[in-house]
Amino acid sequence: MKELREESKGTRRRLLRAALALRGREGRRSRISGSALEPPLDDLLQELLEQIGDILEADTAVILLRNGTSEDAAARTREWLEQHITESLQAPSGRDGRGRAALVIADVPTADGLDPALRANGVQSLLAVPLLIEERYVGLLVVGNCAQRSFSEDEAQVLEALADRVAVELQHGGVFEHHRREWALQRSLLPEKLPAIPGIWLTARFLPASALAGVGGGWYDAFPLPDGRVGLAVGDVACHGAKAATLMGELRNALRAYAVEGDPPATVASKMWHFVATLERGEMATFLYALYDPSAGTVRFYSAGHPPPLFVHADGKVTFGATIPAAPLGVGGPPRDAEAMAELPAGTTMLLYTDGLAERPGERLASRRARIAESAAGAQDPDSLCSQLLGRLVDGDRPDDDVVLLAVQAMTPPEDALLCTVPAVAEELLPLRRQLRRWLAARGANEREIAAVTLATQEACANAVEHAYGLADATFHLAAVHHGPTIEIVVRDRGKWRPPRGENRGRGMALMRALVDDVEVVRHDGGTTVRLVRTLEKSAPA
Amino acid sequence: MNVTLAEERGVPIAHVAGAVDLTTADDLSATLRSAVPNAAMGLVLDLTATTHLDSAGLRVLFDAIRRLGRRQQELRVVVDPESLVADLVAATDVGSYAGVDFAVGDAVEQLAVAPI
Repeated sequence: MKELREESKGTRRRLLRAALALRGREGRRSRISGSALEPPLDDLLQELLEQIGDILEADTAVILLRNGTSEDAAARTREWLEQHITESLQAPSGRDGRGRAALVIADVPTADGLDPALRANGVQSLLAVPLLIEERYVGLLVVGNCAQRSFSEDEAQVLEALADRVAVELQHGGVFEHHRREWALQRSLLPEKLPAIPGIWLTARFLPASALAGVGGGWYDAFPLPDGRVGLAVGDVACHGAKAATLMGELRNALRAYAVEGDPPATVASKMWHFVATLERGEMATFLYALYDPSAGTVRFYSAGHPPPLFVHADGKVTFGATIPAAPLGVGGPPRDAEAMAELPAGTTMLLYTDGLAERPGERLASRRARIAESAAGAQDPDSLCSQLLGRLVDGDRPDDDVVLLAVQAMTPPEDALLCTVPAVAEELLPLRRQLRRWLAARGANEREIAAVTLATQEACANAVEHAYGLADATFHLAAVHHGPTIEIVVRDRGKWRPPRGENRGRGMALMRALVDDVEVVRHDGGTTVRLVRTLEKSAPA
Repeated sequence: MNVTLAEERGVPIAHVAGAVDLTTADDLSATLRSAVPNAAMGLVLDLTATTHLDSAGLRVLFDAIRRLGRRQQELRVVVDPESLVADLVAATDVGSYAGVDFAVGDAVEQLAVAPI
């Protein structure tokens, strides 16, 4: 089969060269005006079409794209041609097994069902070949003549070769430019990066829909809440293109505003429902919001018509969260049912996803879920789960709809990690410092390194205490782990934000930077997370 | 997608065959809008021959529920219980906002005005 394909490609190239050599032999013929393509062609494509007309001695050459409306004459013509091409493919003489075939209509006026508009244009004969972008059918390239003629097999092959050129232009040229702008907009509305939360492994994958569909309206978000819980959301907007991008942006902003107080998922979903309903654009969106409590090892979630979360347990087995029927955001009525709850202990991965992951026309939900479960089984962590699912279910093909995956797992802390929750008062810093010194020494740190890391940590902790000013029961968390010789210390406070005291804080930052290899400070609604990294000269013997 | 409008015992019925997706949803929406006379109790939307229904299709469904509701009319959806359409109708709780039947006759029965 491969040889055959290669051979047919070679033949086509030869024919094309011959045809190009012949080009210009005759003067330009009168051409039928009015291209059937929208949006308008860029100059390069227009010129290419004229050349194609010249090469094949045709009076007209047009592109009929698949993503136009089904209302106009061009779309009806295209549908008619597609149907006949499909029929000829199913016939035993179907051409090269690549899902493409040329269609010759020698006598348009007698072709039953072909659009009268075409006849009115005076087209008597036509030759149509499919346009493929990345092996996907995107439309037809059609040449037509006002006089009756028959197109030869060679001419059909030339047109197929030219269709490849046109497809390249379509892909890189102006026609898909508006899609590219929409994608850029959608990407800008998705989280730039997921928050770093100590002890939590978060991963997201976003695979945009195929070029033809434009923006698919899939979105996600993840954020730490002031009380240490984590908000996780995924949604799918039921429209495409720029409208979808706009709405998903609005939804994500609304969610951040509604979720910040740590309200239960059903309450947040109710606010979201009313938000979409009041837009009065008849919009609809499925939505799932999960509130994960790492310290309790539980997650509560509410789904507004969205597929349920998937859990891959530590033993590799897969289960789905409870599905409670509920209308999508903006339609039907506001959420009434209570939310669902599930266990999410360390080592179990929870996945939120969109339908695009395993959608097959007509396939029932249970069978779809069974395929997802089968593909997810055995995955040990969020990253391998996502890779495994995309590899097995999407397999390199651009999906018809956006695929969004958001996976979370509480990591089991290593046995030699130092984890403590400390009251945010200055008196606690001294014993903490002693504990850290011992831990660092056990990791093989020398005196200089111990002093540097302890001092840097001290600065980070002092900030935490400062933030907690005025809160009687405030605490902060310190986590020290090592990966080989690299020490990582995360100090996270949950105090209310207080504006920095300029000078002092600035010096604290500079000091930390001088003492360790890397300092990362993330300020979020709930407080500040400081991450310090330093690689030791030599690590402790294993 | 192919929509056939019919009437039984004064109840308008829309039979929808084929796929209702992004490319056909607007057509269906427009057809449904003009399918229900003011005097009718509601509309029977027969989806038993609908092979595929995506989110755009669901949106048409909920849109019809809302439009009819404003006129005190009822939508009754007829689905094949062993189909993706039935799954989606169940998952999105359509049953709380519209009637769901498994046979056109049952749906018509619910909407037909009893002879005086």
